[in-house]
Amino acid sequence: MRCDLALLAGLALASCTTPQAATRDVAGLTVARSGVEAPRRDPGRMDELHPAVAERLREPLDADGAVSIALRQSPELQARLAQVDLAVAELWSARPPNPEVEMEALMDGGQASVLEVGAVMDIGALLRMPLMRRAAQAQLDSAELEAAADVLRYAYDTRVAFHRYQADLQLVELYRAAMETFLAAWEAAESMAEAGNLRQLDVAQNRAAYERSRIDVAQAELRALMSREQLQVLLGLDGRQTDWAVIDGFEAPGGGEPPPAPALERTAVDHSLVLNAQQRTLVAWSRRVGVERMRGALPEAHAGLFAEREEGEWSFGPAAGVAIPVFDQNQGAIGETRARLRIAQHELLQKAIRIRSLARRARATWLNAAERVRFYDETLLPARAEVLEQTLLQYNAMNVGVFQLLQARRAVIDAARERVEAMFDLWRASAQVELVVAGGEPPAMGGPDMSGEAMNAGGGDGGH
Amino acid sequence: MADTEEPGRVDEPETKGEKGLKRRDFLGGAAAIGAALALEQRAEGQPRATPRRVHATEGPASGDTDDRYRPVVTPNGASLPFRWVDGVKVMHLKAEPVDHEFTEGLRAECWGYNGSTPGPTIEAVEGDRLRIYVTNGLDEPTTVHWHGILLEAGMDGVGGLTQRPIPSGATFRYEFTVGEPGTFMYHPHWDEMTQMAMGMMGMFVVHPRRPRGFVPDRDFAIMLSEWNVPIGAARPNPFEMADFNVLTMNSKAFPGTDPLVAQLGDKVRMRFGNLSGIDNHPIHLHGYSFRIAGSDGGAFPPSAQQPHTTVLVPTGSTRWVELEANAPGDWAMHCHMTHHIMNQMGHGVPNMVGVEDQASFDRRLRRLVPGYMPMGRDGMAEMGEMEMPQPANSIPMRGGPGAFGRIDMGGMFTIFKVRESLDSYADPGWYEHPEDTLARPATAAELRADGIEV
Ligand SMILES: [Cu+2]
Repeated sequence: MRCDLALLAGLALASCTTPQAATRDVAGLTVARSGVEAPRRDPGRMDELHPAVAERLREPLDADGAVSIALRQSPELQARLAQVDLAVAELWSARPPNPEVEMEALMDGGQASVLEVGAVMDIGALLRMPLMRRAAQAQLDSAELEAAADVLRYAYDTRVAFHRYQADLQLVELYRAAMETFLAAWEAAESMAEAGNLRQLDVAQNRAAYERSRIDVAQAELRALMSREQLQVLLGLDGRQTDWAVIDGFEAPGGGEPPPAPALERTAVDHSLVLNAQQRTLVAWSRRVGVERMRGALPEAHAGLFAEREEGEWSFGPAAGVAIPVFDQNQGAIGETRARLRIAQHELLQKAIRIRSLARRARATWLNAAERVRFYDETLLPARAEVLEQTLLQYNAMNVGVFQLLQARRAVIDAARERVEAMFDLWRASAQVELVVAGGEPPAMGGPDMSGEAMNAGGGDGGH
Repeated sequence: MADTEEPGRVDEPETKGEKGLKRRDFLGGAAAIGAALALEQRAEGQPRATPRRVHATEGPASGDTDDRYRPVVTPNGASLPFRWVDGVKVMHLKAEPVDHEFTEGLRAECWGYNGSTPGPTIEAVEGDRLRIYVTNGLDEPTTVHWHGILLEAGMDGVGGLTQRPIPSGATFRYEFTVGEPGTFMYHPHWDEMTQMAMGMMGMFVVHPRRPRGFVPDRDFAIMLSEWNVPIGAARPNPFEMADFNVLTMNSKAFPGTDPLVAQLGDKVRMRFGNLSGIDNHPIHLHGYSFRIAGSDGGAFPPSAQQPHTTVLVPTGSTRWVELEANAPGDWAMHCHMTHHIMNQMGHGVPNMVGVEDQASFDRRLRRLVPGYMPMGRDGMAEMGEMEMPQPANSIPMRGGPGAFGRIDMGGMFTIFKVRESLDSYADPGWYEHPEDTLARPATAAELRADGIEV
């Protein structure tokens, strides 16, 4: 009997080790996959800027800088990381049951005549403990992997929001330039009317066209403001840090074409944190099935020590009790866990299909956007520039007037504006390719591109 | 003889002989057609050759001459070579595409005859029997109508009415006797709108059998026509009905027009034909009063000849004027419709005259369109002086060089140059004005003396 007890105690102690520093693994995972670092921060100290963030904010931001700030400063992301603690808590709950101590006394004239003391433990729970613990560990693994996927996605969302803001700044400039062509036309019309050469109708028409163009500028400015706010939220910056700037220009991303579709799909599946997480969930459920089976075979078993004092004499003896699983073999819980396991298996397959599709979409979008940018750079913009150049020659030949010259200039601006959208699409697709390669999951095409706040703010998916 | 001369250019330039330059004129005439009569007959069903681009008059540089008349001078042009065959004057016209230069800076793919637009001037003597072969080197049918010549109806050259059109590649034979002397024309009468807008036309001069009355020393033939060549384009647009931007004398726009040169005392005849799409041209000569002596309907009786300085030449008509070159100088001769002395004037442009310089939109435009320059504020003449890039192959509003800087006219403008003595009828350069016969800036003393306040 003694040695049985020792065994039980050993089991219980083994289960008592503290689950610690689980989230270190999240940071390790994201650094390994994409080089991004998302340190956990104490909510009480989030009010202060992370020193690295303060440093970054001094210079105009580039995309990497924005990502690095967001991962250090965003409460939204910290909240997500803190969710891992829930899985850690579950691990805590997989502890050995506490022993029960019973005491009985028979009182006889103010004196206990008979005294019984018993201590028993749920032996069944103790036996299920290692397996339960292993299930909880698998669940924790899954939670960590999902958190790491969310970190990557958050970094992606920040990157996309950054480029959207860059694009919107470009659009403001281009709408302003277009407005200036209308303003020049109006001024020209006024000067000509002053000289007696033009009807007031022409002046009014040119003025109306200019006034209309101001609305375009105002709307573009509002869109830029909105996308700045989206980025502000993703960065996790409060009202004290609103004067940050981004770098000028909006050049094409470096790096070549994404790998061929089969290779990209393979990498995406191999690296996918979501798939990995799902696999760990699968393991967790299969272990829970084992736990419930054990519970079914040994529903209740108690073992302990029993002591009795009668007339000053203590007598000891072991105590044991067991339920015979004649009617209840725990089929309900076993069935539920097995169903959960099957669901998780199907979900794994579905997620693999999805991640492959997302990889293909990211690649196709990249190729399409790159082709469009190239088309603007090599074909349409030069063609419009040639029209402008030839119009200037015709203007020099006094065969067309300033109005037509301005119109040709406007056509160049229009093409440049369309190019900005193509360039944004290219940046986004490029970020998607990087994301799937790192093991993250981009949003499905046509779906919202921004997470959390940003999404609620009516986030731009480039659909201006 | 004329065989050392360029065909059709036999009378200009030339060397003044011992007896003066007049005798030499009679030696002129034109190069023979010779081998050109080896006609390009195309067998039925044989693929047609692509029309060649011809840069100069083709054919042998020799031909028969006709000393019964003094040949006309076709500025920038030539007379049609001929050959006598059994008492018949045989000629050959070939309708074909020509690469034509209106003036330096503007070339276009035009249509003409024998390598030029206008085609060579046909010259004959009243009563002559002419046999004119017409080869069609165009991709579409054509005919030739002998405008103003009185002849048998079947030789009148009206497609569908008096003959089948000459198919592409085929050669037709016209034969008729010319009657009264005068100034006539030839042109297609098939797809007239296109073919004449492309330059197919020529002068047709019939000399008197026996010189009588006014016998010219200088006899010029000038065909007036109008074109639309979009600025920067290189082919006349035959669809244009009203907005003509290249106005020509013998298909040349000033400064491409050769001057008319005469010696003091020369009797000068100027023959004008007009085959413009829709415009009449009042041709004005400076420094002279002339008599309008006839039209394509015939010579006007001397009693009906009025003195004029401007002769209105309606389209589809000819006029000839006569004068004695008694005033030396460089005399402008031009159409008096002001838009007809412009080169490639755009007519749909907003008017900038009087708009203030350095207006705010100028600054904006300079920023928006690098290379932008304000234009047309003080008038249009500044255009020709401004050095700025122009569309390729265009002469927008450009004039030509003059004795006193730039002549800002273009189009139907030429110069009648009369000199006291000449070595040849080649361009003698700018007139040297006798002292104190030249407009010049007034001096303060002069203004004061005459009580002029400025
Ligand atoms: Cu005119």
